[in-house]
Amino acid sequence: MTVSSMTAAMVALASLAMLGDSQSEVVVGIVGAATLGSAFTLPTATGRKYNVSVAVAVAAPPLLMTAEISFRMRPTATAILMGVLGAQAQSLLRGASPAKMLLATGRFVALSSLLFGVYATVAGWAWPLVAPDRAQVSLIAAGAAAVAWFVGHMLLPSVGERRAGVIHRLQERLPEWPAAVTLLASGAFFGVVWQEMTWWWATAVAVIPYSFAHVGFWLSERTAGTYRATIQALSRVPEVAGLTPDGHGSRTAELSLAIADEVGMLAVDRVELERAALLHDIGRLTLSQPSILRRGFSDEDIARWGSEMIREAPTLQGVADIVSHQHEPYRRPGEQFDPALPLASKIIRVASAYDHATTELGFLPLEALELLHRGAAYDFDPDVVAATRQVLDRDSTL
Amino acid sequence: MRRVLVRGVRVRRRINQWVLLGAGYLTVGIAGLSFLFISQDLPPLIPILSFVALGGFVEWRSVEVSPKLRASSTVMVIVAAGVAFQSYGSGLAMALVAITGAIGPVDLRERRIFFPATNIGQLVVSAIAGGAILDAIMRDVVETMGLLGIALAAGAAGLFQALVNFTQVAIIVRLLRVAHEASLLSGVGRVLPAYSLLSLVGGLLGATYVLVGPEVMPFIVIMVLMGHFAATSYAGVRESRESTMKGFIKALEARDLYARGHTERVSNFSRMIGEELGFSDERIERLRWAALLSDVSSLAVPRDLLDHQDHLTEEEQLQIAAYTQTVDEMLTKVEFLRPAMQIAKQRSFARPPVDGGEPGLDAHILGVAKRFDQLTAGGPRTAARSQEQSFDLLRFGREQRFRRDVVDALGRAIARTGMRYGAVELTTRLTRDDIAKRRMYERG
Repeated sequence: MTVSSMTAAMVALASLAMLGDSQSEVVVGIVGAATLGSAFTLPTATGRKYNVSVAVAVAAPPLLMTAEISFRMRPTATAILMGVLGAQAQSLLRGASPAKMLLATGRFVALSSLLFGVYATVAGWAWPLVAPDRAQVSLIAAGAAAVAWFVGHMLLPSVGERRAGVIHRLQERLPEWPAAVTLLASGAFFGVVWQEMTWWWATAVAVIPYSFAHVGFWLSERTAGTYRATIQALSRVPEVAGLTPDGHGSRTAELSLAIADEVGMLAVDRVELERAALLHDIGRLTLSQPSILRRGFSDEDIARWGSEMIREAPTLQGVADIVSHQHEPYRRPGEQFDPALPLASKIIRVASAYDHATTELGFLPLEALELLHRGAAYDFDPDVVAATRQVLDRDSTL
Repeated sequence: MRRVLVRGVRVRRRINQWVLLGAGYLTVGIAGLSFLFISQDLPPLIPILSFVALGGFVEWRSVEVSPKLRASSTVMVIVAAGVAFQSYGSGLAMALVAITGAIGPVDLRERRIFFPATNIGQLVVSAIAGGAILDAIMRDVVETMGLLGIALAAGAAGLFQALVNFTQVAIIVRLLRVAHEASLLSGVGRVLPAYSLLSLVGGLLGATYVLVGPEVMPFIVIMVLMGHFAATSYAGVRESRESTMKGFIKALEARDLYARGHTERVSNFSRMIGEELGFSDERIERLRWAALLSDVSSLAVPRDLLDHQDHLTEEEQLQIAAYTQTVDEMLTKVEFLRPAMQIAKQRSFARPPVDGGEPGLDAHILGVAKRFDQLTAGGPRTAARSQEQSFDLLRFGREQRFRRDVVDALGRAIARTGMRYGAVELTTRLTRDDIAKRRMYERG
């Protein structure tokens, strides 16, 4: 309902702005498709989602380019302005703050300008070489513009992002390339073929193959959700058996993720961290054996048993490595700290100790933090403890 | 000695059959390709090679998106090539792309000759059939219906090609009596709509190539590859999820000497009963999962309670029920485990199902499989029984709560495999009462 009324409003606005212009139909079509596309998102490997209107944005330059291989000011500016309005309307609907709305608008204008600028430059350069083949110009220029958009998207900060380092942002967003390529190629495909066939057929030719990929990515995300739920359910088994405190796994995972976010861990690594945090006490299931209880056990045993169990799953080898190191202190007296110790293991150690202190020992958050501070540099990584403090400060827990 | 000789002759005869069929199909394939090369023009080299490379890649990297469906976009690429090069003759372009699927990674790994040789002939014949349909329909329909006509012609051609292909596979399977290959044919009906749809999309892409020119080739490649990537990604996550669950069950089981291999065996017995009763593949898969999951909840039960299961007080029984029910509820919340958990929850006939009704057939199968394994494998306090004695106890022992048809199905399935489970016969004897019940049973 919201989408259809937004589409109608945007189309009406665009029609009004383009009244009497020769490219009015094209602009209205672009604005309508972009608004409609904004209702759909394509999931990526990092958990971030791409708006389908990105495909419409890539298709826009070839649609608006005139026979003289240039852009006219009014239609181009109208299309971008409508996009800005649409982005703002979406931010408003999501309840974003004015600062976030400003950032979203700035990002949209920058990426749109990059898209049109690169398209115009490359088309102007390619036209004398391949004229009069318009399709070839569109192919070269749309390809260049799509690449420029993705690079710009990776480099520009986005709304709600904590880390601002360019290298970090590149590393964080590079795994999103399959979804980005699918959307950008679909948009560029439409932009190249639309002149040779009717609007409807060009839409069908671009949208039908895209929808196959869309369904595949969507199923993949949905299955990843049930995979997460499976691991969560398994992590609860030692809790039901009374071998760990109720909810310890999920609380540790939640705090670990917050700390990981604070220290700037990449999204792909955060997935493994969450799984390891949920399963870090799975080795305790072995404690149901009376012989083991009689013999006694250490934290190292729990970590080893847990990692042995997890290692049976071929795709969880990384998680098993993290769990196998969770018992190791940051540094032993008289020794240097081990640089090979995984950051995820250090985070889980801190998060688990904090949860143990606040739930089992009955400490207040500040007292638990003090316990972590006292153990910093030996038991716990000081950077991770500092990040924990930041997280608790930010959440007003302290 | 005579038996060995007879068996040797049979094996030799069978090998001769395979060689003859492989050589025959290879000859047909080469003859078909030669005919196409003579009767049709060769399409432009770079574009057709692009289609061939694309088709080969997606076929080589085909993935299993469900137990019965391997996703491959090859049919889409074959039909797209047929439409794109229809002016040269669709058959040759389609055959060139199709034969890239003749040899797969498994053939290379196992150094198989028969399958690739047979595939070449089979794929060329299917491509010629599909190409003929495409040529015939496109000639008449395109002028009146335009792009829609091309798409429909492509869909029909893809469907016809698939039908010709499956018919040939069915003939080969019947000739060679390859049982495990025969099961592949049971899912044909479900695959055909997907083939038509993929062919239709292939037709659209091919038509775009005709209308716009080779400029669209990079887009065709990207769109097919990204669709394939999405399917691969989905199959990968699905496989991870299932292997994680199976790996965990295996690891947890390994910690208990008597439980080691139990779920895997129960899962195997359940599958055998399901197959014997003619269940669909989905139902058998669900049963297998139920068997794997049926013991996860026992992990939450303290060991001392589990070890004294034979003489528990009422309070202890309630305690066990509370532990297992909590884990059952947790696992039921996981969407993909839910159907299997509905069966697994009824694992114990000691208490009625949660909804108060009678246990379903699937629950009976699981119950029989579990009890049969417990009897034949033994436990910390009970000796393993022989296979015959275990069946006797299941049929008319004190625990006469299992459905007779399910027990008989397991008996038939095991007899067919020739395997024997449990202790050697005569290690323990039935009671006089049991023997009396057995006689009554045999009299019907």
